[in-house]
Amino acid sequence: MRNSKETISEVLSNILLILIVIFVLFPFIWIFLTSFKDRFEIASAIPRFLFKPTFENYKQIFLVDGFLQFFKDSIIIAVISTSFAVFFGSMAAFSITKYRVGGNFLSFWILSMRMFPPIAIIIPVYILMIRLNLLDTYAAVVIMHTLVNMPFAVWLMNGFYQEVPTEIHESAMIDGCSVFRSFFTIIFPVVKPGIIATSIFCLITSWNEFLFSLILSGRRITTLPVATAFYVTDRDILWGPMAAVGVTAMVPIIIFTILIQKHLVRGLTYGAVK
Amino acid sequence: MSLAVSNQKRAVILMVFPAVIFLLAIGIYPLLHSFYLLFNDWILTSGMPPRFNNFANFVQLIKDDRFYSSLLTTIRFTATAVPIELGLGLLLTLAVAKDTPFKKTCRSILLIPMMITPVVVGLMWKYMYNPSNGIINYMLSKIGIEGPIWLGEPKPALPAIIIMDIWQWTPFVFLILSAGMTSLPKEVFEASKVDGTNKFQNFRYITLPLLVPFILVALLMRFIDTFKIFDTIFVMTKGGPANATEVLSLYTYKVGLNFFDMGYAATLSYVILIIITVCTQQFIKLGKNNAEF
Amino acid sequence: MKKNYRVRWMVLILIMIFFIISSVSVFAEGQKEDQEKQPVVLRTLIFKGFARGPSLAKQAEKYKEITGVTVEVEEVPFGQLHEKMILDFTSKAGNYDFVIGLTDWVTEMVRGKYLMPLNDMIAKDPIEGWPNAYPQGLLDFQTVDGKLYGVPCHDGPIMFYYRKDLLENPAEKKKFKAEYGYDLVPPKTWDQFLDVSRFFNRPEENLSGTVIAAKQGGQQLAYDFFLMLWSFGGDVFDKSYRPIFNSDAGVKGLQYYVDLRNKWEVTPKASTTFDETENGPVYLNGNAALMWHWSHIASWAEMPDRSKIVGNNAYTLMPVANSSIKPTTLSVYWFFAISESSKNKAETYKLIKWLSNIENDKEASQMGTVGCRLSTYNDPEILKQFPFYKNIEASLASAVKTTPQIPQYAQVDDIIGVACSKVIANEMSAKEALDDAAKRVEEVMRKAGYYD
Repeated sequence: MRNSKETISEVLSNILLILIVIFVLFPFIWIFLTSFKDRFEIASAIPRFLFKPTFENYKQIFLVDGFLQFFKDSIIIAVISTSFAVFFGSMAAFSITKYRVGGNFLSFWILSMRMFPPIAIIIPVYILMIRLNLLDTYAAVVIMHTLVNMPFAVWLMNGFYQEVPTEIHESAMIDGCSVFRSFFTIIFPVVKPGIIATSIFCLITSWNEFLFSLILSGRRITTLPVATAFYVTDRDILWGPMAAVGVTAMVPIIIFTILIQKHLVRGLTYGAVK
Repeated sequence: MSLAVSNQKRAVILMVFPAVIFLLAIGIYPLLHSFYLLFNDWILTSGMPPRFNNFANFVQLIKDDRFYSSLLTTIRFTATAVPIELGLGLLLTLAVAKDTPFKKTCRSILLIPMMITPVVVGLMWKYMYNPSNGIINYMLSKIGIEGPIWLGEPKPALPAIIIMDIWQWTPFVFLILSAGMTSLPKEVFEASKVDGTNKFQNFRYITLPLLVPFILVALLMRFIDTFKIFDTIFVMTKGGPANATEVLSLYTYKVGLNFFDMGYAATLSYVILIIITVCTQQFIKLGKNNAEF
Repeated sequence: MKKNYRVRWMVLILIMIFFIISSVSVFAEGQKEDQEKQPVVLRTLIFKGFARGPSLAKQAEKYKEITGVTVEVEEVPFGQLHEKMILDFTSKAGNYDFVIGLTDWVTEMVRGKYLMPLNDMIAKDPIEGWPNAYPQGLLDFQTVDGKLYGVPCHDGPIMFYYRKDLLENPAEKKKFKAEYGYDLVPPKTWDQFLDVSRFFNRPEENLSGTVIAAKQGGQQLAYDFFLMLWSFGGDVFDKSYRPIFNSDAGVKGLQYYVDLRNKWEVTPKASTTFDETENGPVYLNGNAALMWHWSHIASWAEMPDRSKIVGNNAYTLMPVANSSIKPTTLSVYWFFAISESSKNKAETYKLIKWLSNIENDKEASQMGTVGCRLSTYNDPEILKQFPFYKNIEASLASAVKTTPQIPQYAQVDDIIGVACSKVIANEMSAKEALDDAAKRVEEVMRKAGYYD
C-alpha cells in the first residue's frame, strides 16, 4: 500500500515538474526566437515559430553598439560587489547566528537596509558620490550593489549556519583553534552550498540592477541593464536587438552556475561530527 | 581561560564589524537626509532650498486618494504573488529532490527566469501579452479562447503582471529551498527510515521544520522585493491602464522623479519602509515559533 | 585592557575599508586625468536614438579638427534623460556643458535656473542668418520672460498621414462614394475621418482604420487629448491659468477619441498598450490606413528596412471638428542649451552657434534629423529628398501649439493622462473624468501660487 501511494506521488510530482518546466522555458524560447527575427517578422500579425532567421540583431549589439564593453563593466561590478557582500556578510552572519552578537536588533537592522525603496535615496546617494569624487567609477556602483546584497547575504547565510551543529565549532575551539581559523577551515567548507547559493543570487542581483547603475554611471561605465534600455528610444522599440541582449546577457551567468552546480549538491563532510 | 573567552569575543565582534561599518557609513547619510525631508517641502527643480512645513506632508498623505489606491494595488499584488511563489517553489524543491539526471537538468532550467535582465523580462512579456499579435493570445485563439486585452485594460492588467512575477521569481524561492535541502543533515533522514515513518510524515514533521529558516528567508526576501517592485512594471505599463497597476514604488517614483516633490516622495518611501518593517517583524516571529533549534 | 584592543581593531578595519574604497576610486580616477590634459572639453548628455545623434557625432569630430575643442557625448536611455539631467543640474556637478532639452521642460529648467539665457551671446556673436534663421514660432517656445534659452535642433510637428494607395485607388473611391455619398479624399473633418476609417477597417485583411497611442503613462495620450481639444475648438488654460479643458470641446473631443477604440473599433484594442513608439510601426507595417504622428514617420515610410508602405505614404494637415477651426498641430521639439553650471560657457556657445549654422543644420537633416532652420526648409536638395518639409511649413503656417508652458507640466500631463485612461477603460464618463481632472489641476496650480 505504501508503495502505490509513493508511486502516485512520484508520478504527480513528475507531471507537475514537466508542466512547470514548460511554463518556465516557453518565454525564454520566445525571447530566443525573437532575437533571430527581423523588424517585420516581429511586427507581423501572426506570430510564427518557423521563419527565416537573421543574425543582424547579434551583429548589431556586438559590432555596432559595442556590447562587449558593457559586458566587461557588468562583470567587474558584479564580481567585486558579490565578493564583498558574501565575504563580509557570511562572516557577520556567523557571529550573529552562533554568538548572538547584536541580538535580534542587529540582524533586523541589517535587513532593513534592503527595505528602503531606492528612489528615495537616489538624490543623497548621488550627492554623496559626487562629494567622494566617485561618480562614474566602478567604486560607486560596486558600493551600492554591495549595500543591496549584503543584507541578503547575511540573512541567507544565517539560515545555513543554523543548520551547522554548534559542536563542530566548539570542538575545534577546544582543540585550540582561534575563532577565525575554525571559521575558515572548518565551518566554511560545511556551508559551501550556502556560499554558492548566496553568490549566485548576489551576482544575479548585481548583474540585473538598474537604478543605481544608471544614476551613478556615465561615459566610462555602462552596465548591461542600462545598455539594454538603450533600445527603447523616443520613436522606436528595437525588440530584436533587445532580445539578443537578453539571451547573451544570460551566458556568463549560466556558465558560472553550471561550473559550480556540483557544489550545490549534498554529500559533504558531515562526517566531521563523527 | 578567560583570556581565551575575551579573545573569542573580540574576534567574533571583529567578524561583524566590516559589514556593520560599511552599512553604517554608506547608509547613514541617505537615511538621515530622507528623514529630514519628511518635514520639509522641497521641489527639487524649484531652485529653492527645502522649506520646513511641519507635518503638511503627512496631512497630504492622509488626504491622497492615489496613495490609498496604489497601496491597495501593492497589497493585492504582494498577497497574491508571494504565497504562490513560496508554495510553487516548495513543491518544486520536493519534486526535484532526487538526483536523477532528469531532475538535475530541471534544476538548472528552473533557474533561467531569474537570470534574465528585468528590463528584458518586462518588455518580452509585454510583447507576448500584445492582444493583437502576441504569442499568448495567438495560442489561446488556437484552442478557441479569445484572450483578454492583457495590459490594455484594467481588469487583466494586474493578473498579467502577477503571472510574469511568478514566472520570474519562483526560481528564486526554489534555489533557496533547494540549497537549504542539501544542507540538511543526512542523519535525520536516516534515523526516520529506521523508525518506519512514511514520506508525508517525513516531510511534515522532519523536513519542514528544518526548512523553516530557509522558507523564512525566501518569504522575507520575496515580500520585501515584491512590495518594492518597480523595474518590470515600469517598463510594461508605467502604472496603467487607468492606474490599475500603479504600485506604491511607481507612485513614489512619479512623485519624486517626475514631479520632483522630494518631501512627499520621502513621506511615501517611509510609509513603504514602515509597512515592510512591521510585516517582516511579524514573519520573523512566526518563523521563530515554528523553527526547530 | 579589553577596550584598548577593541578600539585599535575598530580603527584598523575602518582604515582598511577606506583604503579599499579610495584605491578603487584612484584606479578609476586615472582615466579622468587623461582628459584634464586637453585644453577644452565640452560635454553633453543625449539619449540613445536621438535623431540629431549621428550628425552630432560626425559634426563633433569636424569641430575638433577645426578648433581643437573636444566634444564628449554621453548617452542614456531616453526614458531616463530628464532625471539624469536634473540630478546633474541640482547638484551643480557641472558634468554637462551643453544640453538638449525638450520644450516640455523649458519652464521647469528656467525656474530652477539651470540654463543660461542666450540673448547677450547672440547679440555679440549672432548665429548665422540671425534674426531670421528660425521660424518665430519655434523660438517663442524657448523664450521665457523675453529671454531666449535655447536653439532648436530637431523638430517634427505632428502630421496627418494616410495611405495614398488606398485613398487614391479608383475602385475604393467608387465603393466609398456608393456607401457614404461623397468623394473619398483625405479627411478634413473628424466626421470624415470616422467615415474613412470605418470604411478601411478590415480585420480580415489585418487592416485597421487608424491606430492611436493611448497608453497611460506614455507621452502621447496627453498629447492626443490636446490635439482633440484644440481641433474641437477648446484650450487647456485660460489667461489666468485656470483649467478650461473640461469645456464642451474637451468633453466632445475626448469622447470622440475614446469612441474610436470602444465604440467604432477602428483602432486595435491593443492601442491602450501603445506609446508613440509602437503605433508608428503598425502603420509602417501596412496595418492601418490613417494615422497622426510625428514627422519622422514621413521619412521612415520611405525606408525599405523599416517600412512596407514605401511610396504609398502621403500627409496633410490635421482634421478639425468643423471648418471654422483652423487645422492645428502640436509641436514639441528639442533644442540646444547651455547649462548654468558649465565652466565653459563661452566655448559652449561657440559650439552651439556652429552646430546651428546653415551647413550643419542641413547635414543633420540629411542624416535623419528634422532640421529647424528656415534655410533648411527652403533648400532644394532637402526638399527633393524630403518633400514633407513643405507640409511642416504649411502646418506651422496654419496653427501650431505646444503643451502648456508651465513648470508643473509633468503633473498636468499625468492628471490628464489618468483621466483619459479611465474614460477609455469605461470607469468614468468623459465629463466626470475631465471635471475631476480640472479640479486636480486647479489644486496643483493653486499650490504653485498661480492664483495669488
